[in-house]
Amino acid sequence: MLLEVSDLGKNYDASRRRGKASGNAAAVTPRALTDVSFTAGQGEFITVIGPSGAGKSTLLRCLNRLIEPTDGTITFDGRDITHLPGGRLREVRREIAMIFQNYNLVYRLTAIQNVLHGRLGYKNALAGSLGLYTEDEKARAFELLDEVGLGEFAYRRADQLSGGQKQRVGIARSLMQDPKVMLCDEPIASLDPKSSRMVMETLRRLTRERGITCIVNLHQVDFALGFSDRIIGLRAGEKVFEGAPEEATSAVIRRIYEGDAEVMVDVPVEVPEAAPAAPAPGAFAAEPVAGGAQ
Amino acid sequence: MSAAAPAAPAAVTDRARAVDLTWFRKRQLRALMGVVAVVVAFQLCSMVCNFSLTYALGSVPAAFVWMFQNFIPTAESLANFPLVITQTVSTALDSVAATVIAAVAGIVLSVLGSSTIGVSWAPVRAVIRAIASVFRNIPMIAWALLLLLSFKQNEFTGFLALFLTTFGQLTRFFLDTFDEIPTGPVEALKSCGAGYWQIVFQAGLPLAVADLMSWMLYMVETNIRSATLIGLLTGTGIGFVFNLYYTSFRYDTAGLVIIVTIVFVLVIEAVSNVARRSMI
Amino acid sequence: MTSVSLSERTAATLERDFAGRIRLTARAGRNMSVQLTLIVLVVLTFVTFARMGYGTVDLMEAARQALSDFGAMMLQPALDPPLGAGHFTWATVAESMLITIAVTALCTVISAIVSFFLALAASENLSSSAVSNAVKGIVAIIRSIPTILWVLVFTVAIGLGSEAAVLGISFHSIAYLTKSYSESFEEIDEGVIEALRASGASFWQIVFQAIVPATITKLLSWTFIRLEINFTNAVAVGAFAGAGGIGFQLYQAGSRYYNLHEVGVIVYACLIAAFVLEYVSVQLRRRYILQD
Repeated sequence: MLLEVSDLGKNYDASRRRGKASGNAAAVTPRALTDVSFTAGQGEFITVIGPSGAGKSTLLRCLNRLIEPTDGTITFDGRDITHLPGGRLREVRREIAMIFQNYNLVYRLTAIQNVLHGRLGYKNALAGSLGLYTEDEKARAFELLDEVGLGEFAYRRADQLSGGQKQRVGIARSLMQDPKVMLCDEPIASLDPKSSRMVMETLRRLTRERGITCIVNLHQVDFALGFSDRIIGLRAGEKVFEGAPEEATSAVIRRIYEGDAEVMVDVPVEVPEAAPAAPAPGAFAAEPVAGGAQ
Repeated sequence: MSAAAPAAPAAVTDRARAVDLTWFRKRQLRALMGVVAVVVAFQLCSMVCNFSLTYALGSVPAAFVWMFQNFIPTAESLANFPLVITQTVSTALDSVAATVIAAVAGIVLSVLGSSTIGVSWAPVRAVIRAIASVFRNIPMIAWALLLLLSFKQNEFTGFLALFLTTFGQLTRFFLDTFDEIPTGPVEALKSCGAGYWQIVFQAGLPLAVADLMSWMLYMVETNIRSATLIGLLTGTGIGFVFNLYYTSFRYDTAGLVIIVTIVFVLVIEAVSNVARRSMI
Repeated sequence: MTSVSLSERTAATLERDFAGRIRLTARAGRNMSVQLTLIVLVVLTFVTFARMGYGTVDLMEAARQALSDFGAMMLQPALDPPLGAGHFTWATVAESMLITIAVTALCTVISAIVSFFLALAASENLSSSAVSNAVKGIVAIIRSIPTILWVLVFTVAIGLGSEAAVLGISFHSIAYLTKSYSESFEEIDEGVIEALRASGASFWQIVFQAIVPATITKLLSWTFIRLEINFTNAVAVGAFAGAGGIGFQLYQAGSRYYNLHEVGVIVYACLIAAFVLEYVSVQLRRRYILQD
């Protein structure tokens, strides 16, 4: 298996605010992840669904150690990366690309410069700092931008692009890393439905062609059902479901998103046709909640 | 405050409406208490420093009349025009140089000390912030007097004093700027496997550069004013010229100094505003 | 030259430099103003150093001397012999500091009140454009005159004393606050003012029912920022205004008694006062501004 995660846990109290810089919503609850285990094979497209605050972002950020996990191990390509020190962590990170909800482009730089940032992990400190890339790298960056359909926007400043375009620059930047795994943190949460579909399709096509493993956090259950090979359901930091999209019945989805009333109000999910409309708070309170995996 | 009301959840607004009167009265009471506190404080302060508001306000018109009568440059004072211009130019240049050199030092410290792209070891960041704070708050006069003892009265002394205060202030402004850059791109570069300096140069600086430049230009503007005070002590620049003519009662030339200063500052402000706008 | 297989439109976008290397920014539409500004500033800096008068002292020797003086000032502050010379008592230092703080507070209160009304006149959305431009122009001129010159002018025009210091500092402070306040006023949503106007509210009703509540946090914020600047200025002009104050004592210690240990004590007093002011201003901002 390309990526093996076992008993992964993150406790913000224990790590004493070490992951604070990433500032995600999950940081509010001290116990963000508990005993999450799963594996991902080469070329798999896995989506992680769950209500906000369920620990999806934390899980993804633990995988490339933007957040340091407090328990468990992560094995990437046969190598335990849970405690790798800085220099070697960089080498691993360049093979694990990441794309973000807010695109996270450097808005003052051009699209092509942002795509080339994907090469920084391969460059020495000086060349990378000064932005000195080889002609091959630049040519490849152009090809990738072309592939995501933004070739003619190469010299646009990133802040002059639309949301969907920014996200596709983000995808090109991650592909520039030649990654084996791609982590996508809510890649379409800030996009309209049309751009969302386009971004998801681009993501799906490009990773499939290259045999890249894709792990995607999603709010939109319908997209998760439509695009993934496998779905992982996360609730309150615990894995409550793992299976193929067909197994994710409306009852299952409901259970993933069921929780205290507070969480229910916050879930902005578009429930697919199969599932009933958002249940009233407390309607399923009597139903026992199954902990752990299926 | 009415502006805050729409943000409150429905339930809270309802409750607020029910107790609206007491809430309103409380606000009024608080405003009234604020005014009373300010008036009392004002009286106390007036007593402490022997200040008479009526005398001060009453003498403003007379002061302006006096200024307009005495400060109008005459043909005689125009003979000093070249001297005034050279001294103003040198004051302006000193402020530019002090700002640029301070910016070089300030940018290094503020990058290392910022919460977004700074070094990960917190004590280093705390020390950098403390240094900036101390340098910023040591009075300019103290720097000038200290340097006068060793460097004596010359332009370089003035420059050094200006540099030291600018350094503290600029480092603080730069720190604030770097603290406020979006953390997303920094995180993105980290996830690409970028190293520390790569992140600084490829994300930190591009994201902050417009604000950094804006602060530098602001510093150049304010430094011309600070340089006047320092010049008074170190015997250089416009501060010196103004004092020279002012203390010898040649107010027409002193007025000329003020007019030249106004023109210089306004021109520099206009130029830096143009530069600022084109940098966004 | 590296060959690239691209779609036609992308290939048309791609630009190469004179050596055939692929460019990362388009030749046209590039924004060079940052580089240009930096170059101008750096060139001016070189010009400054080239024409600067360095005096007749040996700079290395002077630098060494300055460092040891700095050490004496910061590491061995003292008022009493053997290091100090007993020119000041702790009571004098405390009293002078109190005077400086009082001057600071007076300047801030006076300039906040005056600036509030000036800013109403200077805001485009509240007054006519003629009045607005006139006020803004005058304020810009007042602001361009250094505080110390204002103080010197007032010392002669109305005599030495705290009035000259307060007025001198206030003028610059008023100019600064008027600009900041009016910028806050101008950010107000035009619709709010229009709605009140339509309902027949008078000018002052609009000001106190809409403008003040909507901007009070910003106004207070600017005022507290100015409070800190005013303290710095009050120290700085202390030596020249004849109002006493810590700046005057600092000047005495440094240029009359030449005692760096005493200067050190006064500098520490200023540092403590500045930190306290900063702390108070941050706390006040947090308590009265963020709570709403």
